[in-house]
Amino acid sequence: MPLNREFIGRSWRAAEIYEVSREKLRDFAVAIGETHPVYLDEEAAVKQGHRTVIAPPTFATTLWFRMGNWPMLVPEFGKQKDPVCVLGDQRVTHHRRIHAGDRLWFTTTVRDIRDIGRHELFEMEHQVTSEDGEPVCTVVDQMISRNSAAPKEQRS
Amino acid sequence: MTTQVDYDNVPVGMQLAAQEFQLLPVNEIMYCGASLDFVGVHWNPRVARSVGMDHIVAHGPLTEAKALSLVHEWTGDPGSVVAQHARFHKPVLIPDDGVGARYRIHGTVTEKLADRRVVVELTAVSPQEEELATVRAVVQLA
Repeated sequence: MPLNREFIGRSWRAAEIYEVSREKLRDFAVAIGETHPVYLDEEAAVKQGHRTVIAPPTFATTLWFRMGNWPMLVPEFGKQKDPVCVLGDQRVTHHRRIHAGDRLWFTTTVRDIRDIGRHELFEMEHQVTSEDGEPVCTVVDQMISRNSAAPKEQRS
Repeated sequence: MTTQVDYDNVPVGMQLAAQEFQLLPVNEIMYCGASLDFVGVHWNPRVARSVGMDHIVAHGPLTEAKALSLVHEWTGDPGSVVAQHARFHKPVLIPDDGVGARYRIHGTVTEKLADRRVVVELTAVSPQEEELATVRAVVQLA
């Protein structure tokens, strides 16, 4: 079943602010195999010119899951349990680093849904902003929704 | 931002030190926990088989993170990545055989930009020489 194209252009902001914790950054760094002290040790991070420990450059790409991965679970969006959605392309722009202690707003906008053969391409833009509205990070994800395109009319 | 790499001394075509990576199922499960992405194909072999994959599938952004680690190794400063664009070409399958998935990532400076920034193209390649993922990173130098 195709995804609901009425969602193109719709935005959603997470109901709660996300507070970045030092321990979360440590766990994330360990999970990606990073041992650089700017992720782990406040003193080392300050020596490198950062206010405190910083987030690895892929950290912001995970906030979507934490904040409830809108609109995947919205019934009208039409995402089926099967087939699967696969991440094909991801663009991240860092307006500034994410630090421990940051309080961040998370907003997702559906940019596009279109057919790619039997599949559909589904593009989302995530904006991470500070409590004061300062841009922190922009993530654009292109997901491939496998085999969900509407059947094409047979031409004979 | 304290990278020691001087923009003026970096030629287009310069290679970053390539690195080998190994992903075992436990690494993937750790990433599920850290990213909160618990989609079944990433940790459950039964779900992976149900969508035609022989083994669990690594998260694309995990390979993206490994690729960007080459940049940190080079600049000495994980704050030096200004932007990244990752493209995931083939699923990275992680067999539960004690060896897991292996790939090599190599990187090349492909462009010099204004404001003392460069473009680094990073490519993850399987032992069978398949291109698994590419990451284009914009990197701030000194």
